[in-house]
Amino acid sequence: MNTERWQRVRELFEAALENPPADVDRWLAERNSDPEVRAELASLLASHSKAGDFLSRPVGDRRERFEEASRGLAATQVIGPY
Amino acid sequence: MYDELRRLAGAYMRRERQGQTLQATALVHEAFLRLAGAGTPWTDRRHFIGIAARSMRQILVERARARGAQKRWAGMDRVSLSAALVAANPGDAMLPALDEALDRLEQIDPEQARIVELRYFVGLSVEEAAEVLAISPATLKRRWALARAWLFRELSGDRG
Repeated sequence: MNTERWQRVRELFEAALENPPADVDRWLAERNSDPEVRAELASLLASHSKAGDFLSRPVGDRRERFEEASRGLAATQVIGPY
Repeated sequence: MYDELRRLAGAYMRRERQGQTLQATALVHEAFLRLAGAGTPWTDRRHFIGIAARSMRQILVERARARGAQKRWAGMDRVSLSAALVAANPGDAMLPALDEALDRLEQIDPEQARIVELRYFVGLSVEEAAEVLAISPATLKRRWALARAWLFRELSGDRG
């Protein structure tokens, strides 16, 4: 997908989130005649509705990772006053 | 420099219990060592936070790889994969696959990758991430939704 098409997809995706269309196919047909843009947008809107809690909680919430990082640093004795 | 990194890493700890300072510091220290070693010039705060976020992503993904994440991810059947993707906390098995998908998204739209680094890998709020990228919180929120939709499709579609 070229840059112009992607930017169009992005604009339409943002517009659809702002004012969710009742009939996506019709809404798209009224706004863009490029089949590639329409297919991509329909696909992304479908993914958006299926994504659930995907990525909703930052990976850094996982405590064990910090403990692991801490142990690694303690082993190399680089913890000190900053 | 350290203060900025520590503030950034503080976002990691936001939802955690008290007494996690050492761990946050350790992660920041590791990020700092990488930044210092890379010899990357940074001219302003926004640029700096962007570099730090990138570094955090690399650290977390490498740790997941070292723990055999790719093998665990590849070993999931379709049902477990679907369940893992929509879960709030899918575990680190997803991270290497997510990292690779993010590289592909970056080719299409670099800003999308930056948003994911700030929101998911660092844990900045919508408002904080918007400030770093100099866009409005409303725009950030919609573009974050786009990144999630794109990556969700990429990760769920890998197995056909």
